[in-house]
Amino acid sequence: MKKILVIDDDVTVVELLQMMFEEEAFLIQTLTSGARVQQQVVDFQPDLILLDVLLSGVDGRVVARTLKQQVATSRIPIIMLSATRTTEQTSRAAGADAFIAKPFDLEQLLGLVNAYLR
Amino acid sequence: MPDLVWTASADGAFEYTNQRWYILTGLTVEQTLGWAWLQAIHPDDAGLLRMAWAEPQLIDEAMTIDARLGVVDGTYRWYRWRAAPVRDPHGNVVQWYGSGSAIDDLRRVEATLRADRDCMLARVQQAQAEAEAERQRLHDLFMQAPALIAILRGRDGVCELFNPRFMQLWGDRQVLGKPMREAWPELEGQGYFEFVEHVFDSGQPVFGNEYPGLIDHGNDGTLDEVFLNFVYVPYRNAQGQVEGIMIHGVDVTEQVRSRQTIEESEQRLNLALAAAQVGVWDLDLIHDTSVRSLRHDEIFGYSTLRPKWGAAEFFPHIVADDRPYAQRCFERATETGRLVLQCRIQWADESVHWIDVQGQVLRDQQGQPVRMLGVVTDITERKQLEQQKDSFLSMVSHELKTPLTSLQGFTQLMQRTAAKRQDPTYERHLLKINEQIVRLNNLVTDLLDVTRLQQSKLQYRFVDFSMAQCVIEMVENFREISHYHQLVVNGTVARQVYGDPNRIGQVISNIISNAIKYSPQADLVVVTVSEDPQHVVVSVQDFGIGIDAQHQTMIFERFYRVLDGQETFPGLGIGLYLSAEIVRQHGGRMWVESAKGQGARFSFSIPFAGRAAERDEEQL
Repeated sequence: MKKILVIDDDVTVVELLQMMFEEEAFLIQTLTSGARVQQQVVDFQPDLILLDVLLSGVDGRVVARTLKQQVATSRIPIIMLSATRTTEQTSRAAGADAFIAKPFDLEQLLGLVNAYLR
Repeated sequence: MPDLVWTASADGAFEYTNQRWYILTGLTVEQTLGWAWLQAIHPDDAGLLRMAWAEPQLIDEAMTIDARLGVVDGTYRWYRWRAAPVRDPHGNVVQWYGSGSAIDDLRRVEATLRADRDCMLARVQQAQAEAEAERQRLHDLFMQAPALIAILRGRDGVCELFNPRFMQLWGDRQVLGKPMREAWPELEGQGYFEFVEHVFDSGQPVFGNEYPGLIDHGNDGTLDEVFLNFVYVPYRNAQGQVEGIMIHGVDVTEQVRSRQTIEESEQRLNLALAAAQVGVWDLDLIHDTSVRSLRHDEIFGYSTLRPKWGAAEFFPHIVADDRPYAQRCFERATETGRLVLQCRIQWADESVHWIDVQGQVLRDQQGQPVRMLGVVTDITERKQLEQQKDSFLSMVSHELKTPLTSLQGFTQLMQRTAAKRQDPTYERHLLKINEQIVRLNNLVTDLLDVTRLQQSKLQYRFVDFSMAQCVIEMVENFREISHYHQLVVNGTVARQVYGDPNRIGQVISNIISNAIKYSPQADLVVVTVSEDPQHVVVSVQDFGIGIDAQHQTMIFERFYRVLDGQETFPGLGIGLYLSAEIVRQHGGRMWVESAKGQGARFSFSIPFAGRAAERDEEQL
């Protein structure tokens, strides 16, 4: 069973993603801030990370860059999400493998996730 | 010693003449004696001689007559004839003794003298005539001169002489012989009388330059303001004492007024420019020098005007990132004639400021740009406000989209559930909800885009893509949500274009949604993709309400909406503005063909190679 870590400070979105991916038979863990990401990644060993750009507390792009810079986590694909489309370039620059604008189409997101996990 | 000696009877008949007569005249005795001698006298003079003898009793003394004598060679010589009477004891003339002396030389001298005198007389007369003509000319000049001329006598300035122009100034009032204070009472206290007195007392002239005066032009008690240039010069008598004042003046009221008008409007302009904090510049494109207002240099961080300023000084002040753009704007200005530029500059203290530069190019007769005139404004504060607004809108948009994300996501989850349960009613309702969420999301996106567009911050990701494919995707989206209108796609284009497929998709989506929105009574929308050698063209034809010709250019303006009062359609009025701008950013253009009630056909064309040059640059 593939494991996905969802990091978003909007609890409703987290809930939505959790419901959808569980329905698709993924194993989900969620975080609503960027504070304990490192620990969680080490503990959970996700196959893919869905990461919101504008997290409260810490910027999602900083989180992405940190993960990508560490050998242990650098290979985990990161899909970044944001309601601000202008963050796409900076997100990719920070190491995001893909970017999807909010609001997103569920099928589209699912397709993207499957593409990375195949 | 006389040449000739003769005697004659009392009545003048020659009785004797000396031998000299005969030699001179070549006459014989017969041809001489008696009255015959007269034939030797010039016919013009003979009458005179005859008359002299006609009444000899009147002559009691010797008589002298000049008369010409014909000599043997056929010429005449002047002779002075003298005759003295011999009287009897009763006093009667009984005989004449006479002589004749050649006076040719004398006559010649006399003639010369006479000629000289005549000549001198003629000269005097001529001189007099000339003097008279000159006097007349001076008089005419004086009378017709556009200047104000007058002569005042005495310290109280009795008006002695003036020309018509001078009189007109005073409304032709009667002033001759009147002292100045009586002639021009309104001038009391204006300084004019004091000038006259000063000139009279000091003997020194006085000059007035644009000297103001209040004059009763119409002699009706109302005073009009005039400005005069004048000189008051003393004139003196033979003893050198000042007798009066000559006044020569020019009415310069018109000139002063028009200059004042210009000065006032310039002052107003300067006040306006100062109030607007606008700097003004006038650049000589040939020599790269300029004339600027102080504000101009202040905007660039200098408290005083720089000794030299031209393009060579301007560009280094622009921050490096903005410099190539500024240079392009400048080059383009020499072609288009207008300079519009917003960029950042760096002051000597390294602080960065935003400026707005607007200019107009002036050309010489050959059409070469020689001069550029314009204004510069510091827009740092405005830019900061814009940035605040931008980040505020960005935040608003983000905050609006966050709940939309959940709304859309959960709706889609429910749609999946409904599909599994095969509940078409439920599914249809959810489809409606989803449609509205998409619409709401598009509105938020458009709002944000339009703000960015104003600041040229709309981001593009240019790639090679298939326009035909893009059209089909957009049409598919509409087919999903639009069940009433049938969407037909005609034509295809194999060749790829270089552009941002998302932005172009936005354009196609915008014109299709307009086509649907504005054709509520029709059920067909035709989308056509075609090409010409340079462009791919996309057209969307609807059969709806159409657009009046008067609105056709305006609909591409921001926030423009056609309001007819009868039919109203919701919307913000930014879709077409945004679309046209996106198309323009692709180097293409957008247009509409329509007539009211006849539907509309919106088209845009994008050059295949439009931005390829830039792409090649980026790859280098």
